[in-house]
Amino acid sequence: MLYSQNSVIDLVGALSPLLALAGAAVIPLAPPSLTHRLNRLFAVVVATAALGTAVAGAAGGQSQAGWIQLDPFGSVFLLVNGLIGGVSAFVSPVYLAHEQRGLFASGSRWYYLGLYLFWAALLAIPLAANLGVAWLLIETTTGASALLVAYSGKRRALEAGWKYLLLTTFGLTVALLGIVFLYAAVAPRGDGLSTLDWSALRAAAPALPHETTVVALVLIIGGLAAKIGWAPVHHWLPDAHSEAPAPVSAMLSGALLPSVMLIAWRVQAAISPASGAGTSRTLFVAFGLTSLAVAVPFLWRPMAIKRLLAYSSLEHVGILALGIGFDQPLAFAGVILHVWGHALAKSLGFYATMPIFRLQPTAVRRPAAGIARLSPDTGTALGVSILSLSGLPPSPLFFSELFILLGGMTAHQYAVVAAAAVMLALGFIGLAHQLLEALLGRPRRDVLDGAARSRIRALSLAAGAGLVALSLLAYYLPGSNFLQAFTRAAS
Amino acid sequence: MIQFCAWLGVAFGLGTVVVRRRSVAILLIGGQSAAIGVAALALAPGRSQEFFIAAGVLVVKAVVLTGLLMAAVLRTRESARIRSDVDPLLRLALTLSAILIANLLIPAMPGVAPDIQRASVALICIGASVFILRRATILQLVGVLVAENGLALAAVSIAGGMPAVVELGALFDLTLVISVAIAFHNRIYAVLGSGDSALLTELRD
Repeated sequence: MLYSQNSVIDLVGALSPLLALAGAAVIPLAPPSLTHRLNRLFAVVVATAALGTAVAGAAGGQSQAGWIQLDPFGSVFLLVNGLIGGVSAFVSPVYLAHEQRGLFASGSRWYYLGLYLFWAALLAIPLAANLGVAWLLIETTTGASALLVAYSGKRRALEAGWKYLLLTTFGLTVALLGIVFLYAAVAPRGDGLSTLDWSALRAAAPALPHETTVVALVLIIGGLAAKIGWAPVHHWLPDAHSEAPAPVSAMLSGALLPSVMLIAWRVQAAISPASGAGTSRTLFVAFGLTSLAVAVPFLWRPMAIKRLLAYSSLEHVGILALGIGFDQPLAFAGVILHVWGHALAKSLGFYATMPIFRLQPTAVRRPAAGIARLSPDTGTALGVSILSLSGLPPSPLFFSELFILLGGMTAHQYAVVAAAAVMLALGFIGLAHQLLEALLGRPRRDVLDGAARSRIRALSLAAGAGLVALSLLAYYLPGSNFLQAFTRAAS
Repeated sequence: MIQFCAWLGVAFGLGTVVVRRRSVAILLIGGQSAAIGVAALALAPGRSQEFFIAAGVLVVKAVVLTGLLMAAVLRTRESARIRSDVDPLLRLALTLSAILIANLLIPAMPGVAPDIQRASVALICIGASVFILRRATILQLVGVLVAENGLALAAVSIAGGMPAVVELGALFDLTLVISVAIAFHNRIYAVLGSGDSALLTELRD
């Protein structure tokens, strides 16, 4: 009976990553006339499988079989990875149709190979039941996504890809050293992979030596920070997010960063009994405040729209770090809402850059201007995205930030809450100012692709509806059974 | 045996901090990887079959990655030597300082001989130093590999070794990352006419 239950968990959990791997194998080999159609088919199928698995994980409590774990904690992130990956794959033909140069001769085949490998690893990360396996999956995302970052083959894209590849690889090396430390403490006689299961780490934590566990925690979280993009080890983030193809930027920002953060969070939750809850909270709060402090001044500077969105990602991973560091149920409700809301709003912003760059090619390098006058639909998409990201009510990000700050008050972190509130307010003003310039400033060029206009309208409507639904969810999430189950796993 | 191989690896690593030629640095990293592979093989008797396989893969990695890097250097010859901004002796002094500080700060790892732990930490510091202080893209990759070798040394030194899945998976991921990085290096060379990372300076705020 147990065997059959485990088999079902294995099958359900592995389904979406395996389907994405199948996409990586099939789409590049298909005849060119079928490539984009097959991609759209796989996008829908993989996303549906991922969303189904996420719902099953959210509803069914915690269950583990082999390397796969379904729980409400991971489901929050799996949902995002399924949705953002699916939409990014779906809109990729629009990007490819207008990209003249490429890193590879047979451009779209390599693009889809990289995209689906990246997506498969992203889908598997929230399902990983084991720290070692999670690290391997995170490292796997690096190779595939670095090639995608540099896909255009332009000099700036190469620079961004190179920085991303080396800095995150080095960060992950440091994280692996932390894992070696932890393994040496948990299994002094080398008891095998299962000792790095989340459940095994939790069980072993109370007996672990404090000093070794603190070093392991600092190395793991510090190393993963380089991949999450937390300041001060964030230098690849603005470059990679601004130079990658727009669908890939959406996946990097909306899915990759939160997924790696989930693993940092799982480590913190598992070993904090040994390292001391205060140590791990301090680490997250420090990364959170530093990221906010570094990001906010850039939100005031006129810059190219994708770069602005990239610095906004830095601000938002900082907010999420604060929510984790406050370690309160209300702050966790804020984190859940923030992960979902940020993914929707940010990906809409990145998708909107595709028609913006066709409307106004100079916006690739310079601040966009007058987009609302050139194309009201594109302007609406950008407006919905940036106003939501700025935290303007009734955006779900307003509620999520409020929950996180209230969680900080509950945790008696008054100084941190005050500093964060000031920086969030400054970030809001900076983003709102940039948005006004981008939408209502004097336009530089007036050329419009009608097909792009209708697609961005559909995306705006869908994302807008999702954001409204999340704002409504904000009223029900605190105190819900789901939040209680999430909190049990996360703290 | 393992002590000798570990400190031989550190000596090779320090060589990569100061040498001028990329090809010499690659030979040094090849020698270092081989020394750590041999150390792992020496530890294999009495351990699991998976550990023996992982140790063998470490030796194979030494050959394969050295070959890949050497081929990349031969394909992308530089017209002039890429000079680091920091003098070799200063690089060495900075690296040795980093090694000393890191070893003073990091507590003993359970089940690992103190000597081996010191060598592992030293290799990771050397890797970071080469990665940060050298400008040639190939040498930055060498820095990553030196740090990874430090990690491999720590992993094989734990009683029983790290789980084979993690060891083999990490080696696979490393090979993937290095292959992608070499593709980047080739493209950077094609676009800029040099593998000098200091020329990649367009993205600034």
